[in-house]
Amino acid sequence: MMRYSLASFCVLLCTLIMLAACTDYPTADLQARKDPFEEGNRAVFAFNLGVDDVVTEPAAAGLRKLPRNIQRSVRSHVEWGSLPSTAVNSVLQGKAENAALASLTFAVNGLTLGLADLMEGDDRPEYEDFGQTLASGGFGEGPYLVVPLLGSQTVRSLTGWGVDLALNPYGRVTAGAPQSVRVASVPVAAVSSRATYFDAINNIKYNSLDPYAKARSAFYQQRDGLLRNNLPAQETDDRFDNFFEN
Amino acid sequence: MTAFAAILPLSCRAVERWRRCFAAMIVITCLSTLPAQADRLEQATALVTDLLSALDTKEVTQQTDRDKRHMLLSGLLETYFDVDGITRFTAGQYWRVATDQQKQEYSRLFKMVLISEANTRFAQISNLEFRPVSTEARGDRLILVTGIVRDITGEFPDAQIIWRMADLPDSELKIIDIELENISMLKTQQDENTALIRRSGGDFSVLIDAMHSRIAALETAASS
Repeated sequence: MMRYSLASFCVLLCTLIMLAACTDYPTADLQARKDPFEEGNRAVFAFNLGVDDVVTEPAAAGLRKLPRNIQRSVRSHVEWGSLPSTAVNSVLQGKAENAALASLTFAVNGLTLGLADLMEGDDRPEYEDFGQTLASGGFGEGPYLVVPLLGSQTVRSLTGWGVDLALNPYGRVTAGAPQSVRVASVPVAAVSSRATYFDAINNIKYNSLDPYAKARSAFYQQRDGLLRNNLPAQETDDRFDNFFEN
Repeated sequence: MTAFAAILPLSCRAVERWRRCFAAMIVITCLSTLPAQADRLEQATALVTDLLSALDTKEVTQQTDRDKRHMLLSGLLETYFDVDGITRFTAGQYWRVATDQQKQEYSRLFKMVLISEANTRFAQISNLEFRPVSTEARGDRLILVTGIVRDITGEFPDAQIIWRMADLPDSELKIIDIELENISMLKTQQDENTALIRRSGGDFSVLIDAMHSRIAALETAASS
């Protein structure tokens, strides 16, 4: 059974990576060309908004009513859980210093299971995931996808998410924890993230002319920001070149 | 051959002289533009801190009359932001195909939305504290002031903010964009607006209708 699921996972991974490599577009291309499945994506987006209405937003609103230190502890624990993945991906990208910093932060904050940030300060490890590792390796991002419950992704970031989920050493660290605790960590991370960006997400949801387009734009910009240290630096800010042309 | 031998050292000396002249010209040009650029960078940082100081005055923070605060915010918007440039940019490539009447109407509505949203969310904005980190030129027409925003209530983690400014010769520096955690307000608005127009087959009036509805919703929210 285990061998079957691992084989399926490898096939899925290879397919997604090939799809990503085959469907890359130049960065200057229009947003529309990045989103060839827009109608389907909009339907999934509407479904996700419905789930957010009923589950995630009320849960996040509830979390925000808890004392600040509890909210901070939840956020800190979620961030702590992603550090092993950051360390591994930093190594894969040749960023030894970031890998060391992520490992050290994970070890030190591990004394409190990540519930307290004992390494408070400006020197924070930069978040790295397998999607960024693929970008560093020259894989194209592929088309835009809205995945049920997961939200905005590209084929590359979705592939990275799957690999991180399967290979994150955090899973080995918490292997001794009860099954219910491990299963709960995914929705807790989702609710914590929703609570952290509560106003920003509500702004997209309730104050937009087109929430789908706004969410897609925010996703790409946020993702591009993460990828900035994986790709060659740009001298100019070409997103704003048109500002001076009209 | 002897003629060549005589000419070669001469031409080498000439080339060397020219190289020195050229290098000196470059150094002089750089040295003369450096203070000017440094001034512009200082002005850019000052523009941000001035705006934040203006927003933090009692006149604005303790203003309970919504209409008066609307007027104050409108004045600040005109003073510190390139409103016309922002308006044009947010309509993307469709600005060129809009009629003059549509352009005027869109400009009016866009400004109303900007001020109404700033007014509605003033409580959130006023809880933020800004610490400048760096100021740099990006290309020859943009200046970026980067800093950290801290929520003084401690509710949200610190976030990186970038104030993007247009730096054109013989023009005042003006803010054109605010980018929070890599998400540019200007770019997001442009993507949203152009998606709306594109889906309606390029009809600019659809955007204007949507903005009318948005303003009506904002006014309803403000009055309730």
